[in-house]
This record gives sequence, C-alpha cells and structure tokens, in this order.
Amino acid sequence: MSLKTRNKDGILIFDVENEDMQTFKDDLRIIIEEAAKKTNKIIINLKELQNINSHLIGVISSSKRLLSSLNGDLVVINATEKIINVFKVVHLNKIVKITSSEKEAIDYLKKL
Amino acid sequence: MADKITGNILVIDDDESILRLLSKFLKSEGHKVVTDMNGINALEVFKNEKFDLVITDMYMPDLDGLDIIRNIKDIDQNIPIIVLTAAGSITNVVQSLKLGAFNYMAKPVNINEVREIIQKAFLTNAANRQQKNFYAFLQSAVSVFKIKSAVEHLEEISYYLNNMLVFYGFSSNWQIQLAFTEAFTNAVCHGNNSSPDKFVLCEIAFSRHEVIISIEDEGAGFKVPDLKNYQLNDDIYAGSGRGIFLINSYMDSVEFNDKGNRIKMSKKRD
Repeated sequence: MSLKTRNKDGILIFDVENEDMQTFKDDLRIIIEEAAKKTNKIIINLKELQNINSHLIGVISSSKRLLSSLNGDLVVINATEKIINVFKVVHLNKIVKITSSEKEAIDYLKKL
Repeated sequence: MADKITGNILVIDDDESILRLLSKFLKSEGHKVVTDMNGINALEVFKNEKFDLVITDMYMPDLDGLDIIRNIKDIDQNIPIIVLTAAGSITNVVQSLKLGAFNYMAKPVNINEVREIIQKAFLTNAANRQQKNFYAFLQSAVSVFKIKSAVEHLEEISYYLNNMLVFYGFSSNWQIQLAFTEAFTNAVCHGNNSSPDKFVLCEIAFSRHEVIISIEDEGAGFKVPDLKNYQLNDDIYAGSGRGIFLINSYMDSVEFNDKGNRIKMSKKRD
C-alpha cells in the first residue's frame, strides 16, 4: 500500500508512504478528485517521502485549485527540507499552505 | 564449488547459549571468532582488533543492536553487520538495514542460513573493496545506456547515478537526481509518448569536477525555443513545464539539440 487515508473531524488525511514518487503506483490526482466529492478539506502528509518530482507538484497545485473552488483548502504537512526547497523553486509555497504538524494543519482547516 | 571465505568474526549476544552455538559452528567453518555478552564491552573489543564481520543481537540490556550498528559503522563504515532478531520484529530489522546492516537472521538461528549469509557478506564486501580500488584511480568515466522507454527503469539507472555521484563527491546529489528524473520521465512520457517499443538513450559522463548528462528519446521533438525560454509565469497552476523549469533551476547548463528530442545538462561539483 502506498497511500493510507484517515479521517479526522471531517478532514481527509492522505499519508504518502513511499520514499520515492517513482514507486508510487496509484494516481493520486484521481484519488484526490474522488475525495473532493465528499470533503473540501484535505491534508497530504509527506512524512515518508524523500524524493519529489514535478508530477506530484502538479497534483498538489491542481488539487489546491479544485478544493479552493469548493471553498475548502489543502495543506501539506511533514515535508522534508529538500522537498520544501523544490516547492520554493516552483513557487508552490506561495499558493499551498505548508505546516510542520498535523495539529496546525487541522486547526487551520477547521477555521475555514 | 568456490572456496569458502573465512575471516575474523565478532559475535555479540547476551544469550550465552546462542554465543556457544554460533562460536562452535563458526570455528568449525574455519573462522576466527570472538564473542561478547555485553554490547559496551564488545565495542571496546571492536576498537582494538581488526574484524571482518560482526553478528549482533538486536535486544540486549546495556546497548541494543541499533546502537551497536551506529557505533561500529562510525568506526568502520564498510564492515558487514548481521543482526540477530526475534521472529516478527520487522520494524527493527528495517531500521537496522537503514543504518547499514548487511542482513538479518531470525532466531532460532538456522546454521545453513548462517553459513550462506556470512559467505554472501564476505563476497559482497570483497567486490565492494575491488570496486573502490578501481575507482581510486579513475579520473573520468562515460556510461551509455540504451533503455526501454519505461519509467520503471528509472530506479535502476538512478541507483547507478547516485553511486557515481557519491563516489565523485557531488554534494548537490539530490538536485542532479531530480533533474535526471525529470528529463528521463519527459523522454519516456512526452518524447516517446509512453510507447513501449521505443528507447531512451542516456549518456552520463563523470569527472572529478563535473557531471554531464545527455538524454535522447525517439520522438518527433519539441520546439527548442519553448524549452530554452521556459519560465514559470504568474500562473503557478500551469499544467506543464515544471519539469523543465526544475532542470533549469538545479543544473548549471542546459542545452537541447535542434530537433528538440535531446537534452544535455551539466553540473559542476561544489
């Protein structure tokens, strides 16, 4: 299993369990689009992810746009310093909220 | 059958019966064996004597197997360590492998398995030493790979690239890996349009100062000015171009051939 899903107070949390996006077999974009039919608040937990690629950046930005259009939001948590560096290079940090803890992300999404 | 390799083995376990069993068996196999029931003492012994292999229990009262691996790897990064663990304790096994243990054996130990794993450890270590000796005088190397056009092959070639980058002392390793991943994925998914009948040609040239990577697909190519001048504009949500943008951001130089089906990128060593 490369992706685990949890529900906390109506917020859907995706735990990415792969170290590398290349070994990620599921189509995360479709999974999030399906999830957005049930909730407009999503957290993507990147704790286990060591290497990112442009595909995941595209998935995160399109999911952000989708959830915003539904008056919700998406938060990325537990990204490594290396991954945050990549987010900054492509300016993803300007549009997506990134927090270091799940609690902070949940508190933010609850206020929406 | 190939000759058996023997060596000096340190065995650490707080269970005397296991120590006795392993010591007797390993000596009968021609190895020199030192045993210790205490992890802290064993580290002192390790500092004062040259060993070829360490077998350590995972759970001990004074110092656990993970601490032993950390300490021993600090002293000798190349020594193979085999971990003895209770059946089913997978978390610690994974942790020990991440710390650099060679392999693990579940208790109760199977003597045939002990023999097999130790021989594998010695053979792997000998091969690594040989490779290191070879690399020591290697000033530059060029590798050319013609690979079936599939992202699944990225893992193997990335592994090779990573090893070479580490050997040549590139500290910006992950950035080069990312650029390579993006270029290779572009070649497979966009250049070759995910066709399984096509190939990707990768040429990787290393020197002690620079790495130059060239990736060519068999597709019709893209408009080069679009690739060269690609910049992220205000539309962060734009659907494409992030891969090329990352490559431009992390590599020192990026060039394309006229047809637009080959990218050549380089990065100097920091």
